Amino acid sequence: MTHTSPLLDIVHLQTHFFVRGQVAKAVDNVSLTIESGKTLGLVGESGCGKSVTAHSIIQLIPDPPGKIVGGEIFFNGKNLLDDSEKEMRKIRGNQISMIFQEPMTSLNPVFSVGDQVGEVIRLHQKLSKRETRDRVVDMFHRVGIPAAEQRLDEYPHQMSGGMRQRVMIAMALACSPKMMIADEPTTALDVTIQAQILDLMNKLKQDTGASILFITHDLGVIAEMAQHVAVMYAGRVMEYAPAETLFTSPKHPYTIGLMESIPVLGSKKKTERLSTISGVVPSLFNLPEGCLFSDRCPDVFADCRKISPRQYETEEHHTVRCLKYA
Amino acid sequence: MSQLWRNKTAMAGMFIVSFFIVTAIFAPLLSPHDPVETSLYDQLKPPMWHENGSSQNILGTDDLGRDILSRLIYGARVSLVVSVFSVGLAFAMGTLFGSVAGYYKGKLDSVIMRIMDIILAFPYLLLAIVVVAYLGPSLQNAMMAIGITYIPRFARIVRGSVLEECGKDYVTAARSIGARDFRIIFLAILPNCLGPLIVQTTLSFASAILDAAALSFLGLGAQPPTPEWGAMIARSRALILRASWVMTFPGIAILLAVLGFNLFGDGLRDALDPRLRD
Amino acid sequence: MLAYAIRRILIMIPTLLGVSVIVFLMLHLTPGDPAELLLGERATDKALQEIREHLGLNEPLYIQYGMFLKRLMKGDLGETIWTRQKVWVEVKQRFPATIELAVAALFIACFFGVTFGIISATKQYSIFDYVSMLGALTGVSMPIFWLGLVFMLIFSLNLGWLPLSGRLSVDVDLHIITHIYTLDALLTRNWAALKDAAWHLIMPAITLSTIPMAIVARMTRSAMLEVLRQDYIKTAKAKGLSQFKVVYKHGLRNALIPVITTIGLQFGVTLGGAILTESIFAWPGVGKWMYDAVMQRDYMVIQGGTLFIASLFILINLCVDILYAVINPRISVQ
Repeated sequence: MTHTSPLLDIVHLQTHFFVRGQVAKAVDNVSLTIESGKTLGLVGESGCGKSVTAHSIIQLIPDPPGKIVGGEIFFNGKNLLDDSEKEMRKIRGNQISMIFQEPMTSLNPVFSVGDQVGEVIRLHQKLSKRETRDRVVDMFHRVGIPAAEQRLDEYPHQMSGGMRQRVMIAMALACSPKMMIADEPTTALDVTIQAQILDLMNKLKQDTGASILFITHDLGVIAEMAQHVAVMYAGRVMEYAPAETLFTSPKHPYTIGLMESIPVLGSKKKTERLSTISGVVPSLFNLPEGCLFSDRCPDVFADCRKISPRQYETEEHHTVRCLKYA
Repeated sequence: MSQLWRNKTAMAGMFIVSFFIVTAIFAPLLSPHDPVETSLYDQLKPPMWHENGSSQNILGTDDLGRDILSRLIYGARVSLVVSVFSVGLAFAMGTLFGSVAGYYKGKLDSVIMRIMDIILAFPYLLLAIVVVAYLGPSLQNAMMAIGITYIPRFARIVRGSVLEECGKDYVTAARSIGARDFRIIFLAILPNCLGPLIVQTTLSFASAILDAAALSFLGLGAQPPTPEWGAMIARSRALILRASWVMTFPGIAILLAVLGFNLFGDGLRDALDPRLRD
Repeated sequence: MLAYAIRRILIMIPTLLGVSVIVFLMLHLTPGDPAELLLGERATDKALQEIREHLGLNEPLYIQYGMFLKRLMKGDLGETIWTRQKVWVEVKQRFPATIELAVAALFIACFFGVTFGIISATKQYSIFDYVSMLGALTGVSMPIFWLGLVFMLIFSLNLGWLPLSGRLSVDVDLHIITHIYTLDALLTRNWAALKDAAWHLIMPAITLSTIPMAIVARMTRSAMLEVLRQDYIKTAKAKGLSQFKVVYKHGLRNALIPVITTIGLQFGVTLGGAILTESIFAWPGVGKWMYDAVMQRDYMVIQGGTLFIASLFILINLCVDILYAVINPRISVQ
């Protein structure tokens, strides 16, 4: 067991979306923890609720139609869901920051990049204009933007995707947050740029001691970045394990299916079809009874459709939401 | 939720438009009196709900004793005719210009677009006023003048659509088998911009009614004794204190008719391309 | 930037020429003898001869057009039939009145239009939204010549709050500088005159502002909605900015780009709509002057006035184009 309490402790989070009289349970009973200075990878296919979880942490869920209906989110021991909007604003960008998937559209086109990064600094720290500018230049250096002094006054459309994502990272780390949420930060980038950005994030994490919640659908990226991994499916966490363990001995049938569907170069059976997980993700408006994965699971048995499995601990720090391990 | 609202307003618009068209078509049947028949005896009778009013003239009479309601009903007919002709003219010419410009491109395109720019260089009613002022005030000239000012709207839509479609393979394929240009344009390309064209037509009807009324108000459109809403308002200026009803009802008629077409057009636009709105 | 401006100016020139061609041709397309049309029926034969020589009406059309252009270059727009005043002089006399009206109308339109548009966008689907959008739709459908009369009926004739027509009451003494009465009153600190001038200005300005206000409101609303959906708005929120800052600093700045273009274009529309408003309220501007000329078949004035208004409109559109490039960094920094 850990000796220090975790930086972020999400307990039974439920975020639902109310649309046209129906309820989509985007996040239903999700529990996660992140330690100081560690990276938690959150993996899953589109629509599984990983983004919603991230947005719920800093309460950026659009209301309507979304609402956090249950659970607690402890950050440094305090429940964020108890905070007023005013208090949350002090936390956003300051103690918890977030970067998004699309660097091309995530920066405001009418302000210079220097202004936008400077804005978050001036918002949370009372620095003069001169001091802010120096800080921004410093941040630009740290994220590897060359000729920082000149580039301060450039507009986003004058920069490439990779550069813009670096600006986003600079913006996210400018106030030395304790945690950074990265929602698919490299998905929209070229593979080579992707590698650079990932390296940069790891380096900065080490330098600042910040934690990262890294969201992605790419298992390969997780392997590089995360110490712990949580696999989500249809709004719930299916498996939670240290990264190594997850890759060497995945337990949940869904995780196993994901691993197997990654095509491997140099496979002996060259004419083999790509392995996939049959079936489709259930509609969030109409979740089945019992285990959510039951209708696609190769190891399904009768009880799976009746009993909704809890998180069962198999080894230390490794939990699986599957009746096979009950 | 927003779907409901959009539908309701479009429905309201359609209702008003239908009402307008029906009134216009069946004017002789619906109208209680002859709209141009004067009566020195019945001058300036107030609407029915006033003390001196009577059910003979529900909305009262004007300074020449003509029944207002009848003139309003026939006025719908005049407005409908004017809008159909002017929008029809604009639609036909605009489509022609637009397709030629977009299909043949090059110099022809430049020249046509220049002409469109020149038409657009005249603000709002000015071109129509000038045309009618020179050619002589009459409803026909007004229709033509208004029609001319609307040509660029249609030309733009068609040209844009034609340019877009020209790049696509089916057009190249049609050309390669020797299909005549005319065929290609009309049968293959135009159906693609039908949606925006219909929306523009509806909205242009709204503008046409308004512009025709404005021209008639200025004495440049419908000539007496033709019952036209704008002309009726012009006549009523002298009577504004004595007989305000002569001025009020035609204005309300214009407002409702134009509003109806605008509501309907907006609704159509939302239905055909919801991306364009919120 | 400069290159962009120059390109736009170059495009403007053929359009201006085209307008002049049309204005020029109109006289010749009208049935009747051009000389008689210009001078009226009671012109003497001698006068007709003179004008035929002066304008070269016996020459082939293209030569006439050349002469026409030459006269334009010198600023000679001809003379009116009735007062034999130079058209250009009359335009200069009346233009300030129209400018005062147009600017006032545009100001009202922008202020209320943008405000309502923003509130509608931030409170989408609320009662306020529905009502104001319905109002905007009504505004766009409004026959403003009728609206003006209704205002007159209610506020002048029935309630007696506002003066019926004109720019200034007869008994008010005002020292004229710019011919824009409200401005002059302000400059000479003549508060009584300021109130009088403003009172005269209110009804025509509000009437004229109706359609632009509606259009600006709709445009603002849709631009704001579009902008508030963008990713950078989410980024701004994630930084911890207040809702106010997010909407008004990050959102509005982007939304205003298309809105300002719309406002600029509406300025031109206002000039055109001035004809109707001025004739109702007897506002002595270019619009009423044109209206009177059309009524009296004063073709010189019609020709000169049209040329003036159309050229002004083209110029305004050019300025709007350049302004757009200035406020949109994506273009100006190229």
